[in-house]
Amino acid sequence: MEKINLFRTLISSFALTTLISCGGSNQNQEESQSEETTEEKVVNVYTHRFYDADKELFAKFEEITGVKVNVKEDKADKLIALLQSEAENTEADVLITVDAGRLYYAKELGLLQSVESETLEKNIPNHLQDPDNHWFALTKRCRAFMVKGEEAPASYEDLADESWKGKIFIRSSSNIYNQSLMASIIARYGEEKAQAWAEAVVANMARAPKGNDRDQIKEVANAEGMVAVANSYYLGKLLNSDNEMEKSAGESVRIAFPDQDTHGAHINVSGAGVTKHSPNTENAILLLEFLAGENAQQIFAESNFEYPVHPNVSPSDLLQSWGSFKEDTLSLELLGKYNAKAIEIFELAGWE
Amino acid sequence: MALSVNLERKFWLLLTTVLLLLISLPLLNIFFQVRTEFFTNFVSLITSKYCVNTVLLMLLTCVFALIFGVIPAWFVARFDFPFRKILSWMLIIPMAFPAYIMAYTYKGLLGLYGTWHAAFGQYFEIESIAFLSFLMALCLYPYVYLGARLSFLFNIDKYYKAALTMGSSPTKAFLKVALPMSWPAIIGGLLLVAMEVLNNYGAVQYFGIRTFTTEIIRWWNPMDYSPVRNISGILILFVVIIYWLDRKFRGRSSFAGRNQKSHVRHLKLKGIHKWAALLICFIPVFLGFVVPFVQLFAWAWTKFEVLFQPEVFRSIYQTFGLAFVTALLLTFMAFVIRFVIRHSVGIKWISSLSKLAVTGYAVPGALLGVGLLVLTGFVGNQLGMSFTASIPVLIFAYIIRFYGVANNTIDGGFERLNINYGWASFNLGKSYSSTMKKVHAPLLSRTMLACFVLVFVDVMKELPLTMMFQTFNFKTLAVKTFMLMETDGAVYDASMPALLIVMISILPAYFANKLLAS
Repeated sequence: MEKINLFRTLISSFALTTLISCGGSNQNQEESQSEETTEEKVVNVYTHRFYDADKELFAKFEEITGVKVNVKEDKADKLIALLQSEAENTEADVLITVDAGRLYYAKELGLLQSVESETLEKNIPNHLQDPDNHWFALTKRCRAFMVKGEEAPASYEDLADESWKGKIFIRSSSNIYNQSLMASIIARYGEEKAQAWAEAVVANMARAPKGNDRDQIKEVANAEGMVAVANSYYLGKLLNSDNEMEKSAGESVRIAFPDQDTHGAHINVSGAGVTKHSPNTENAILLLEFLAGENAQQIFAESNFEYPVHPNVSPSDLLQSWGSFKEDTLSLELLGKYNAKAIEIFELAGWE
Repeated sequence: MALSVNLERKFWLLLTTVLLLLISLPLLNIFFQVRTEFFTNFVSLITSKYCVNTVLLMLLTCVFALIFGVIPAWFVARFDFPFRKILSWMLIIPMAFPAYIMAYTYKGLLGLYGTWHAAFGQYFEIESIAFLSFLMALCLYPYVYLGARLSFLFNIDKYYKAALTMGSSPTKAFLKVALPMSWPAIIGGLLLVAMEVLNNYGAVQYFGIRTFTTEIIRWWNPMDYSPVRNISGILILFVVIIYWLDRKFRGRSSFAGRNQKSHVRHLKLKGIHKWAALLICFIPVFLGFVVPFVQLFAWAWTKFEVLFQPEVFRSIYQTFGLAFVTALLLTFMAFVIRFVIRHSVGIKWISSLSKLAVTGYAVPGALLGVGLLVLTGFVGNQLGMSFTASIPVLIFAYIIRFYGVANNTIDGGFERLNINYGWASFNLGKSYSSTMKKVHAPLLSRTMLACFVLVFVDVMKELPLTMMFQTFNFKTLAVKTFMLMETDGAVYDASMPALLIVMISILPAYFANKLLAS
C-alpha cells in the first residue's frame, strides 16, 4: 500500500482550490475592481425563480443592453438571510421571489429600496406593486380549484362545507402558497373565522397532506367528485408531462376559479425589487423595466404557464382556454403581514 | 531537543484547537441564541408529534441500515461466491443517491400514475414512516457497510481464525467474536446514519412526515428567528444524547492487538449457500442502486441532449473539484485532530470541543448556513466586503458540515489501532509530525481513503449550504437537480443531473474499494 505523501497532496490540493476559486469567483473580482470607476456593466440577481426560461430572458437583456446578468438561485428565506448578513457590502442588485409575502418581509427588514420608474408604473397594475415602490410583480398565479366533472366549490369558504367532506386534496401548511392563501383569509375575515375555516377544511381533507400541488391534482384525476387546491401553473405542467398517464390525468381535470361572484380568486405573484445597497442600481432598474416590458412579459406568458402582469400582454393559449377570471385585489402586502399568524393558525387547526 | 519536541506538540495542540473552534463557531452561535422560552417549552417540544416522528424515523432507519450494512459486509469480507468482487464495491454506491431523489424516484415508480401503475394497473401509497425509513436506509447503509467491512477484513482476522481453529462454526464465530469486536466501527456508522436522518429535509417533507428539520423550516421567519432557535436547541440536545449513548455502548476502547495486513482467505461457499450469499448481498445493491438508477435512466432517456449543454460540463467539473478538495482537506484535518486528541491524555476540553464540532452534521444545512452567515457578516463588515459568494467560504461551510463524518470515520480507524504505536514513537524522541507522517498515516491509509470517499460523496449531494454560498452563475449538479425538481413538482426533468451525481460518485467508490481490498 503506497504511502500518502502528505506534503505533495497538500500542495496540489491548495493549487486546485486556487484554480477553482479563480474560475468561480471571476465575477466578484471584476466587480470590485470597477466599483471605483463608473457602474460596471453587470447586474447581480438573487432569485427564487428556478425556471430555465428566465435564463433566456437574461440573455436577451444582455443582448439589448450589454449588461451581464449574474444569477444566484436559492429560496427566498435564505436569500433574505444573505442580504441581512451582507448589509452594505452586498453584491446583490435585484431580489426576485415567488411569493408576495417574502417581498413584504424584505421591505420590512429594510433590504429593498424605492424605485421611481415611469415604465414600471405604466406596465404594472397598481395592486400588483408595492405602494412605496419597493417591489413590483412580474408574473401572477392563481391558487385555484382543480376538479373532475361539473361540481366545484364556489369559494374558499365553500371548502369548509360538509358537502366536501373527505373530498379535499391540499398540500401541507408548511408550504408558502397555502400560508399566503391563509393570510388573505385572515386579512379579510379575521383570525377567529380563519381558524374555524381551517379546522373545517382539515376535517374535510381526503387524507393528511402529503406531496406537492402536482400530486394533489393527480389524486383528483384518479377519483370522482374530489377537489384539489393548487397553483394554476401546475395544471399546465401536468398537461405537458412526459408521462402519458399523467398527461391524460391532466386532461381529465378542469380548473375552477374561486370566489368569482364575490371578491375574486386569490392570486400570488412572483416579483422583484432593487436591494437597498445595490452596487449597480441603474442596471437593476433597467433589468426590472425590461422584465416588465411587453417582450419579456410575452416570454413569461408562453413559457411557465404563469399569467403576465402587463395589461397589454395576453396569457398563453392554454391559459386563455381556462377562461378569464376575476382576481382578488387585496393588498399583497397583507400576505406577508399575516404570514406568521397563518402558520400559527394552521398549527392550532391541526393542518399538517 | 526535548524542549523543541514539546513546543512542536504544543503547536499541533494549538492548531487543532483553532481548527475545532473555527468549525464550532457557527454551531456555538446557534446554541447561544436559545433563550429561556426553550426551557419552559421543553416538555411540550419533547412530547410533540414531530419529536416522536423523528425518533421513530431514526430508530427504524438504523435497524434497516444495520441489516443492509452488516450482513453483506460479513459475506463479502470472509466468503467467496460468484460476483463477490463486483458486489463489494457496488454495495457502496447507493450512498450516491440523495435521500430526496430516492424518495421522489420510488414515488414516481410505485405511486399514482407511476411506472408500476402504467405497467400493472396498480399503485401504492408509500408515504409512511416505515417505508421512508426503508428508503433512507437504502442510501445510508453504506456508512455502516464501509466500517463493518474494514473491521471484518482487518481487525478480527486473528481472533476469528482462532475461533474457527477451536472448532467454532463460522456463524457462531461471527456472532461471538467478529461482531462484538466490530461493534465500535458499526456503531460509528450508525451514528452517521442517525445524524443524516436528523438533518434530512427534502425526503421527509415530501412524504408529509414532520420532524425537527421540517419544523425548523416551517417556523422560519426572517422577522423573528426565535422559534427556529428553540427547536434547534432540542435538536442539539438530541445529538448530545446520541453521542452519550454512543460513548456508553462503545466505551473508550483501544486495542492492544497487532494491526497486521493479513492475507484474508475467503472461504469458498458451495451449493445453496453461495446463491444465498449472492442474493443477500445483491438485494441492497438492487433496491438501492439498480432500481432507482434504471428508473432515472428511463426518465432521462428523452432528455439526453441536456448532457451536451456546455454549462453541464462546467457544472460537472466544478462539482467534482469542490468535492475532491473538500474531501482531501477534511480527511487531512480529521486525521490531525484525532491524532492530537488521542495522544493528548488528560486534556479533556479538546475532546469535548471535538464533540461540539461534530454536531454540525446533525443540524439542517439551512440552519448551519445562517449560523455561518453571522461569522461571514462580522468578518465582511470589518473588511468592507461580502464573503457569501466565494469558493473558500463554501468549502469552509462543507468542512463544518461534514466534520462529523470525517471525525467518526477516522476515529474508528484510530480506535482499531494499537495505542502503543504513538507512545513508542514519542519515547524514541520523535515529534508529532514525524509520527503522524511515518507511523500513523501509512497505518491508517485505508481509513483515510474510506473517509475521503464518504466526504466526497456527501459533498456531491449537499444542497442548502451549496445554494447559500455558491458564487454567481455556479451550480453544482445537486443544485441543478433540486432546481429542476422544485419548479416541476416532479422528478422527470431532474433525472439527468441526478444520474450524473450517481455516476460521478461511482468512481471514488470503485477506486477506494480497489485500494482497500489490496
